[in-house]
Amino acid sequence: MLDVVFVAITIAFFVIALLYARGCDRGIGAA
Amino acid sequence: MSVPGLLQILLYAILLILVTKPLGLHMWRVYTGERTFLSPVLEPLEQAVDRLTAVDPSKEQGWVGYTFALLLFSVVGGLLTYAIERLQNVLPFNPQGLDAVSPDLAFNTAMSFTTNTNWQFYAGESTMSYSTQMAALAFHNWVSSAAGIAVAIALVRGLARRSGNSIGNFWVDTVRGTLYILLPICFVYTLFLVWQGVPQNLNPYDRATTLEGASQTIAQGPVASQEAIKMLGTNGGGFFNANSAHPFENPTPLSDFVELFSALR
Repeated sequence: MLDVVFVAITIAFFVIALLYARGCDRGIGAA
Repeated sequence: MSVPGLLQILLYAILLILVTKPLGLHMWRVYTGERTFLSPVLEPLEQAVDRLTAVDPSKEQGWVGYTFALLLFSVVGGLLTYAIERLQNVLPFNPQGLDAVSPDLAFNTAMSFTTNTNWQFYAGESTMSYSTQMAALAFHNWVSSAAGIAVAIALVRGLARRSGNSIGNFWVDTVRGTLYILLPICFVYTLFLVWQGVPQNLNPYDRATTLEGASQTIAQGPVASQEAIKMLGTNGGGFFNANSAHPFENPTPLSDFVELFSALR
């Protein structure tokens, strides 16, 4: 069970970091 | 402080200054894609890796693409490390028959090594099998160093370039850094450590009886190859719990000097 939780946390972190980078890029573009 | 101690610090500083320019020039050639003196040997290997991973070395990435590549590389490497730790009891190179690493420790170690933090919350010799030490932990000592250098180089490119939307190619930077900088130095470094007495084998631990009659376990394994990249990549995560204070990681005054030097080179 913990294995699933840890893998899910890792993938979620990856998606959030990616969305954050894309968001920053849009912000830079807008500025 | 004693005179030999002062002389050692002086020698250390002199060597560090002497190595800076040739190593810096070599790194400059590596990250600008120029040929180096190692190209005749390593270029076929680099091209094979590029072909295998479908990377076009002439194609550069913007910062989001570079970040995406770094994150993807890290998440896959992190999950792979986690899987190796959790499955080490059924994987080969486990002569001590060590159990799978517990989920929380495996996750902590996987994430820590992936991010080059290398928090060693375990005693290597009683927790990690040889396959985990080699394929998971030493692997991250290599690639998290190469990825870290690549990101630093990308940052420098971003500052130095006056125009343009690209900062290099993460895959190219990481592969070239690994092949042309870390691999040749570590190859020689590992042989040096073996010469100094660091073990490099896949044997089970030896049992010894002391003069007082007590039984003692002599832990060993593929130590030299991991020690070299541990110091060169400024990583933690030594083979043994005591790290470089262990006589099998750092057996002589000469090995101590070289290990200190390689950590700051």
